[in-house]
Amino acid sequence: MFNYSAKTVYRLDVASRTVLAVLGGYWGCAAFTLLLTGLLPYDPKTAALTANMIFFLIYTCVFIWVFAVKKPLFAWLGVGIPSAVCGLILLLRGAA
Amino acid sequence: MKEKFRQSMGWLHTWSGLILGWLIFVIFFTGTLSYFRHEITHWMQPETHGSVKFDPAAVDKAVDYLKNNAPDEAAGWLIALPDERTKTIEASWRVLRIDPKYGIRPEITQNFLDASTGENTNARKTHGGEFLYRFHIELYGMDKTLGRWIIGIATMALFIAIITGIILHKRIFKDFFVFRGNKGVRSWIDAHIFAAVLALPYHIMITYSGLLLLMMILLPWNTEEFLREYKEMRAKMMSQPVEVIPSDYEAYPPVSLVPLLKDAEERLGEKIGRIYISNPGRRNMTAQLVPSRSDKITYTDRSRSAEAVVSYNLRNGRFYGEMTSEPVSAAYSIFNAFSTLHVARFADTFMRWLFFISGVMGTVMTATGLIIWTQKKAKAADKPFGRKLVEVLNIGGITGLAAATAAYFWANRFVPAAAENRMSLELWAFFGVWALTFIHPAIRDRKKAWVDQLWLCAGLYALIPAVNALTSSMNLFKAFSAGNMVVAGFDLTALAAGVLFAVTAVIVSGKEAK
Repeated sequence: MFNYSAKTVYRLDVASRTVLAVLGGYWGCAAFTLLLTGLLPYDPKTAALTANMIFFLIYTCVFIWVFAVKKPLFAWLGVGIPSAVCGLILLLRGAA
Repeated sequence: MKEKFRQSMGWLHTWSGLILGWLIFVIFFTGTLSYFRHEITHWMQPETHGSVKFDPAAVDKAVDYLKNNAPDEAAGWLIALPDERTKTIEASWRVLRIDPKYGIRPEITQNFLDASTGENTNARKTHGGEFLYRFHIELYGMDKTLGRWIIGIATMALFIAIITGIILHKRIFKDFFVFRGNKGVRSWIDAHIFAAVLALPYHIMITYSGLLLLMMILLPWNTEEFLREYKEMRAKMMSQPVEVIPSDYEAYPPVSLVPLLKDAEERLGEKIGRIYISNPGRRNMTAQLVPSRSDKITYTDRSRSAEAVVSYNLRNGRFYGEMTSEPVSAAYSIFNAFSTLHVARFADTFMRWLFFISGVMGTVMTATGLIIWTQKKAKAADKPFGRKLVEVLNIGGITGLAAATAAYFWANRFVPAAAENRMSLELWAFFGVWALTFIHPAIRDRKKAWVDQLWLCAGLYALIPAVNALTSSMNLFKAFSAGNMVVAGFDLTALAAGVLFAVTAVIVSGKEAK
């Protein structure tokens, strides 16, 4: 179908993973920490603080995952599915 | 992405470190100096150097000074007593101003009094160490929030670089003990690993805690809970106009603070460091006495940065009571511990030096990391312009910043103390010299430019004790004999930095000959 050179494929791969890690990772982790804030059995201020402190650790893990996985598709799925699930729960909870 | 996991970690380590590498270097360099920002400010106000010994009776003189000089509308006074880090008594007042954007903002006027006589030292106006500290947390010349976002993103990149760096080096502790000098890139890599591993727990702690300190900016969706109290308090304050009562409202002098100081120290079993006086001159004039420095890593209440406060009525000296803060949750204790560690608030002089040296390790780690990249990657890429650009950024970013900081200290002494705009002239010296250090490598051979600028730094730092002796009544020997270890320490550190820059210059120029 398309016939890209190996170099172009590599560059597209890097660009897509960078966007995924920086933005997708940020939004995914944001959704997760917001969800966690609501689930933690603490007062709201402590829960928010705990979730925020965890954010930086999972964001780092997401970064490593995105660049370590062999196929870009797996990277997108690995970040996309958990983010979507967290987002969906947040939306449902907001609607309820 | 790459074939092997560790290869992809190497890739991530290189790129997350490089893209914001110069910024990370700036953050490490200015942050390391910020451990001694009070000491730097003291050195930059030579008028205060004569103030060494503290006489408690000077506290009442400070109250007299405030009474005669603070404006009537001052909402509060502060008397900060000297300790091992500051040698003067600070007598400041706070006037509340309405700011359309931020609401009520305190406008603080600082004065530095001689610790034994209570006389105003008329210290020159300078940003002092505060400038380096502000640069470390929010850069300069831009919106503070934007500056903190940029710093936060660089910190996140550094955190990823550190974690991937650990994964990358499977023989991390074996490599630590290996140094192959005079082997080009290999020597730089060995130096990089040495600096990184020697202070590894520090690097992880300082980066993670830096992220936590910027949390409110980096994670704005989750801050409602934190800000609610503050917003409610601010709304309440905004609705109350600041009442101005003339100072002759009721004749006073307040009672002497000296016995109260002694009483508070006995009650708390700790030395008192700061005295907050609220409602000055009014019937309900009170003093809050706060311990000087806690050696505890977790505070129960971060906003007060002290465990206990003793209050007195200043019109009759009656003891009002002691306030001890409530214990907080485990999560808050962890958060407090990290933020206290980051700013070394708990640290005594020895610990502060340990942190300083760890900060120097981080600075070296960043600098060597940037150099490795140019030597390895830019050579392979074979793009003369790109390589030159990175070299210029390396030289101006690394040695240039060090030279600019030295120029800031020199300008502090050579701009006349009474000059009208001396504070901005000091900053002009800083940014002016920094700009020049980028132009110089652009027009000169890169190896020569490195050596030139290293020698420039060596000279600027090594001569600082001489500059101090020439431009003030204090010098290194006098500082020692008078017991002013803050000034002596500054001079000696500058001298040591000068020697280190000279040694580096010799090593780098030796490489050039080969």
